[in-house]
Amino acid sequence: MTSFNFSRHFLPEQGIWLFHMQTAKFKTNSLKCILPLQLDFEKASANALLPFVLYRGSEDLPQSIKLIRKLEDLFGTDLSVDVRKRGEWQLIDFSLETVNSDFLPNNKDILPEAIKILSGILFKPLLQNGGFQRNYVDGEKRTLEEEIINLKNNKMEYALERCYQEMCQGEPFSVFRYGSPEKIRELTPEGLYEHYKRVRQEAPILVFFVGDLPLDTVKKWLLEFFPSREKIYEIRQNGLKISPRPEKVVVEKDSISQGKLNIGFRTGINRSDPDFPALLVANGLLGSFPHSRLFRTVREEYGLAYYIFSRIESTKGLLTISAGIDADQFEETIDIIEKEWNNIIQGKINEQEVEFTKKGLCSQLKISEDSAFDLMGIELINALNSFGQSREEIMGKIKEVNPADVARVLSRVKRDTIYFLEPDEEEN
Amino acid sequence: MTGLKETLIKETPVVKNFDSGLTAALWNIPGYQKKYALLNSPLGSILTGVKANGQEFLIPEGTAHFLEHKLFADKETGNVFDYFASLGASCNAYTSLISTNYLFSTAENLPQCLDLLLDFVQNLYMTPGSIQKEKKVILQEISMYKDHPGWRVFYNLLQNLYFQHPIRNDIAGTRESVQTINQEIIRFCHDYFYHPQNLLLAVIGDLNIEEITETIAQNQSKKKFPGVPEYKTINFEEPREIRKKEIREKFSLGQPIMQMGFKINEHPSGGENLLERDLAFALLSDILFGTGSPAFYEMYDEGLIDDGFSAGFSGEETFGYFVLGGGTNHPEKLIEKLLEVLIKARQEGIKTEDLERSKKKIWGGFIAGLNSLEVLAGQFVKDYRRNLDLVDHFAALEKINTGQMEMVLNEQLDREKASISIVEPRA
Repeated sequence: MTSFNFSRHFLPEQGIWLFHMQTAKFKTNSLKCILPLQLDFEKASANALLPFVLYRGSEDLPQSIKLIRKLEDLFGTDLSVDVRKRGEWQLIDFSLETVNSDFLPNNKDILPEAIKILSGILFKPLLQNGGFQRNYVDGEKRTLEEEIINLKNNKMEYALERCYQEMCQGEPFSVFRYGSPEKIRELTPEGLYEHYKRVRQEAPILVFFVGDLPLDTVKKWLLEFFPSREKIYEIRQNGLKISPRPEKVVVEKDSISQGKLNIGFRTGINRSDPDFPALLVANGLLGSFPHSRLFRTVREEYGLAYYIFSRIESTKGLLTISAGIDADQFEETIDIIEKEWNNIIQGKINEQEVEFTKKGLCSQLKISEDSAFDLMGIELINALNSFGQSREEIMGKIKEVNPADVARVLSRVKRDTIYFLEPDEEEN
Repeated sequence: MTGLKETLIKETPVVKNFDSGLTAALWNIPGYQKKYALLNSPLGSILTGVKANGQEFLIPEGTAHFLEHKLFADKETGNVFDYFASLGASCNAYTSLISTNYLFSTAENLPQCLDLLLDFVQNLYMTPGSIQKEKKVILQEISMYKDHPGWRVFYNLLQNLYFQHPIRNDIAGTRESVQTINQEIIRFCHDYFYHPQNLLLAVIGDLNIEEITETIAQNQSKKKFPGVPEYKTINFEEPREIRKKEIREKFSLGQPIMQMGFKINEHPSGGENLLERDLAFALLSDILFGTGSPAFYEMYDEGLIDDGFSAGFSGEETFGYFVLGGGTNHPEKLIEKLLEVLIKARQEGIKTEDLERSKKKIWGGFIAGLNSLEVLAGQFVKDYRRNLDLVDHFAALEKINTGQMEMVLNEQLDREKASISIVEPRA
């Protein structure tokens, strides 16, 4: 019986934290390699560009098409690259998924070969005149810049990002996960290579493995394929406590047919905080389920929105409410939300909704055992939050939360910014 | 391959038929925490008219989707979401072109959840007031989609490819069509397409099959259903031509988005043939335009595409379309290039080594998908309705050859049957 807990191992020579879980439950083996980099305005664009340039080719597989075809030959081994933001960390993420040998015609284990390819991408980049290959850098600069511009194509995400920018102005968290077009344009193949050398030398590497292979085997491959490094920095938390300041309301216009409302709050609570389980319950009761207050009132009672929900960012300590509404219902919606919020902090909560929420949250946490990537995702957030609390611990504590805890924790949460992307009637 | 077949057969559901007419597939997958159920009705957005009892019934655009919303909201007995929440479960639903699907996932209380699912889907309750309120929510949903340029470009494309076929309609309907939906039509649709004879249930997870069988049998035996409703779908005459060559729409967005769509007029019948067509197109688009194709990098390096570029096929027995495109700063150049790739491929044919590599990739992707109970259940329902099973996918994949793909390439991707849809930024 698998415990569905990761065992944690530090490989000092390589500066690798290995999180290992052996299970025969899945038809694939999954391995995720994370480089956590400090989010900052100056370096964010270089950090973001790096993995995409590396992925274009390595010394061994110098052309994208060769690299991709090699992966395809390994039964469509999925190697995906992305850059994400968690709290004030910018995470370079290389994720690998290979089919278990049981499901392959020749029953051959393909993971070692896949890890070797990944290690080549990370540590044996393709170079030209003391820098990365120019056409790859230029191509990926263009793509990344377009990605940023195209944020505007997804109005919900765009409005949320704008809300974060306004709310966290001057804080690293306001930086977009891909940086900015201006900074991207400044990058050169040589400059980016210099940046790479620092990252390669100093960044800790978090490796998560879920699959049917013992620890020793995975460790052996990492020792074999990953180089030794010195001067690895520590993962420290930051940006959580922000002194209170006046509320801000920002309204912008766009030629859209439905207004996108985002309300940002500061919780000051991350996963290490004793109140974290209570915050999960409060957020669930407020807006993350169909039985939640916001769905029940704004959508079901008043028919004002199709989507309305709340979510928390548990590394930076934020809570946001998002809804799609007509422009002339902005004030009515804000009023209803405020009323529900106040009802909760005044303790007007019934046992039943707390029970529903606790059950729903525990169910989600249990069910996360059914997805290798969900398990790795939760462990990753934990690693960034000084291993606050395990899934089991959090489940146990969720069960103890009572209505008074919900009221208390929500009263700690302060509204910071209201952002509304409003339909522009003249244009639309 | 034999070994693989055995491995997969270990994971085959038990299919049961109940007295009410309901068919259920019960699929025991040990070791999973989640239990997932999917209840599937054959009422999809493209079913817009039937003949029944010697009469023709026209179903307004957006009715399937409306009925889906309606079954959740305002039950006589209370709120469906609350009942699921009280059991620690979460429920949802979605409407597709060919079906409506109700689902829940839970870690506990599976029998109670199943009862609830069957009850709320099989009992229709409406009041005029609740219908009006739900219309308001649906209008917001329509507005939300209208703000997605990626959705807009695709919708415009289908509008251009088809004259009559209801595939050109939005699944949610239009602001106007939603207003014409009334109690009578909803009742009719529920009687016919939600009759147990027409429903398909899939339950998957770490199950006690006997217990679940008993739960379903008891649930169904308590209900009375009218005789099996016979109906015939009214299919519209769809010309082979396309309706319009090109459409452009201004939008508030970053980069323009271009999609080129080919209308496919040859429709196979029967599950195996449909699967073969799906696979032929999947392999063809991967070989010609996938990330392992030379064309992908030529277009990428010329700045015509980024990694959001995609090529894919969708088809059933009455329609088929192949769509290529994505965000681009040079829509015209991209169109030209895509057509060139097709012409060149026709001249050179499909190479065996490319086909073999692409087969491996699709194989791996398919297996990886089977880690998810949702994917397994969804795949089962789709296959069952087509009279197929999981192993058929691997057999069909092994069998397909370059000749079949060249036939698709030469005979079905006709420039004259292609339309262009572009959304572009306002000046």
